[in-house]
Amino acid sequence: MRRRETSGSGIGFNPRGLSLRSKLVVEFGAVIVGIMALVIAVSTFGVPFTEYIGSLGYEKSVVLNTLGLIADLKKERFELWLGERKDDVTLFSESINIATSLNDLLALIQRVSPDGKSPDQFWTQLTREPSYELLVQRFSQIIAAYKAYQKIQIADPSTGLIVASSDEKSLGLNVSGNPSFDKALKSTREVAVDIQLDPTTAHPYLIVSRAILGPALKDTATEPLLGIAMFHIDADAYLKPLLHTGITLGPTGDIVMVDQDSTILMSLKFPLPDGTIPKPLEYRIQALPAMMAARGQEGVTIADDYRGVRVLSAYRGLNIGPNQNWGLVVKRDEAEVFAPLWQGVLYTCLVGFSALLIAILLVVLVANRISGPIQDLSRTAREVEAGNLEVRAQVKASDEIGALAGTFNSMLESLKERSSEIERTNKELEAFSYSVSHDLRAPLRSIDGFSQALLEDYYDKVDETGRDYLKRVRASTQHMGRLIDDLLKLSRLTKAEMRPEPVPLSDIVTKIIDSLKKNEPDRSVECVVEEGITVYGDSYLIEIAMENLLNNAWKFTGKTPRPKIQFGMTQKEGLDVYYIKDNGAGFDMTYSDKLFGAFQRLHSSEEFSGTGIGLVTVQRIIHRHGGRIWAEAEPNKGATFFFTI
Amino acid sequence: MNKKIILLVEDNPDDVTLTLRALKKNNILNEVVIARDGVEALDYLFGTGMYEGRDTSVMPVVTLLDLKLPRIDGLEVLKRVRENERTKLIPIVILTSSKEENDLINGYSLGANSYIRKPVDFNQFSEAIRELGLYWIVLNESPPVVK
Repeated sequence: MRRRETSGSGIGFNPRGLSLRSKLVVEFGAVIVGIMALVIAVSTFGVPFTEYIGSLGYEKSVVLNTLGLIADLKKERFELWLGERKDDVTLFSESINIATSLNDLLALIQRVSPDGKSPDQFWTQLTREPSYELLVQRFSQIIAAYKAYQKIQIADPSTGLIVASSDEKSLGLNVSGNPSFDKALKSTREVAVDIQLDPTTAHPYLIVSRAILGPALKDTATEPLLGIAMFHIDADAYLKPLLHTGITLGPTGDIVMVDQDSTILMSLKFPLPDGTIPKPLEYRIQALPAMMAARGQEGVTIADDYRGVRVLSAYRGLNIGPNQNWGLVVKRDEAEVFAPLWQGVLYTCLVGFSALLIAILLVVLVANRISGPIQDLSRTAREVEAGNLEVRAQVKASDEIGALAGTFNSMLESLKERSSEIERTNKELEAFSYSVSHDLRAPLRSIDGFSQALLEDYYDKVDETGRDYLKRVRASTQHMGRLIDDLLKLSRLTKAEMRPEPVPLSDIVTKIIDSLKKNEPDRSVECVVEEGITVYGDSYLIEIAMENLLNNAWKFTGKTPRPKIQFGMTQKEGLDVYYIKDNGAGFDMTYSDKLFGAFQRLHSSEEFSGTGIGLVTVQRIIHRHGGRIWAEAEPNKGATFFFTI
Repeated sequence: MNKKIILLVEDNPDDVTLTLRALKKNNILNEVVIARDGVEALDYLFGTGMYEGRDTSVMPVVTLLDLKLPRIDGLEVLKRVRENERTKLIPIVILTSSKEENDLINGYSLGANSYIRKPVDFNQFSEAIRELGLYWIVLNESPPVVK
């Protein structure tokens, strides 16, 4: 018999199944998260080796495009503006009136101080000269027309001294050595462009300068160099706005202008990482975009700028003059550009993840709604299995499971009724067999007793035949007595409660054989008992079964010359099978199906006494243990009874 | 006054006859008082009813008590006998055909001295009676009389 397991076998949910379900949920979640991540990754970064560049790539190209357009715009604007300034100074320098006035002025200066050295008064006096006033007037006109000009001045080419200026304080200053002066001096007809720092304010100034040539002399046909005109423009005040207005580059956007050496020509928006502010005309940018622009290259790139920050930039060369190129860089921080993108990805992930969590929650809820009642049902079933017939399943839902629970309950109800019915019947049976045993025996006793009395007291009055008859009467009554006993035993078997425990089968067999030997000491029977066999069952019932089987073996070897009884264990089809084998009378296998029928006998009572109940008892006991019993035999060779428990 | 009386409480007349025969066969010649049911048995032991006036200082040396009796059954008789001061010590042997474990337990619990099962085979029955007689009448020491 197998030990009854109570841990939810059969219809119940295996408690381990709950965590299996959580495992499923986790795996499901992981798959979904994986898919989401893949989709987001692909949509953001695109698919490698294909044309799909994702939203990141798209954003990049859009921004770079825009920066390029802005750079083109600014370049054009600046070059246009510069062209106008060049034109202004050219027009001025080629004006005959200017040349005439300047000539007069210079002649005056020559006369008054031939060696070039002059006291302060001299300059003050000079300002009252009509030629001077004419020039200054012209200066004012120009400044009035375009307020960008901070200062306009003319320098004497031979001495380098400022001989006329819109700012009186500059008079007399020596500008030889100033690149604007030198360059204009050298190239005569070309406008020189330079940005310099004002010595007092350290502000950057754009200076456009040109040589003023007089009318050609009659004899040499060369135009005399009369002076160098220098037009000053405040770069920060006018150049910067020119570049920055009209477009929005965002909080991290900046436009940088550098000269051919990649030195910045204007102040920058952001300081260096260490906090210092790069000084215009001092700081030289070594970052890629600026350097490309300084070399006059044109393009877009994503590279680190002068701060080491990764930027998207467009760079252009600025045509300043022959052999003079400045550079322009329009840039935006990569982080700022892509910030909205990353934000979008983040929100997508958050939304997706929350949706997933909600989905899982719903799934779990729904699953619980379904599994809850099922678990309750199986729990109830388990309790019923354990013996509790009062318990009922909960009927909560009105769906199929609810219907099942309802049906289950009514099944339990009828089970309970049936069970009490059976109990009642059993009790009745018990009472019946009690009275049977008692009431049937009394008359039997009378019959036997009086037959014996007759035999003893009227011995001489009864002849041989009579005595024989009486003997038969007695034999029958005793037989009947034994039958009643056996029947009673049999009936008690079905009602007796089984108390399962480990039963030492070998020991029991040995004990029975010993008592058989003791009862009939003059019989020598060879007995072989396999040691150490234990089974699981009711020890009382198993003992009765063994008694019956061994009694039979003992009885049916009564006429065998060398009787041998064996008890052991073997394997048949993977199961443990126990057997009791004897070499006694055996029986014809053709009648084997009658073997276990109550009162059926395969031998006459002359050969072997017996009621025929013994094997029925054994079979019933074996069956109660959930086992099987069968026999194999041959007439006069013996019989073997096999059984499983 | 040293009469050793056997009280036989048995309703089945056949059993009565057979028991008496068995006693006689085994040379147990004591006086046997027959009570045919529980009432008669109690009447005798307590000296009431039909045995009113009996000298109750004389108790049976052994009482053979059957269980299945009309009116008052064997176990009830046993119980009442054991409750009575005068009779609570007297030897009582339950002689019945029942082998029910309940009867066994109840019998002993209520104070029977012995429990014998009546065999069907008369010879065995006779043998049982002989041994009973020998034991309780000859070997056993009777309890003292209660005045």
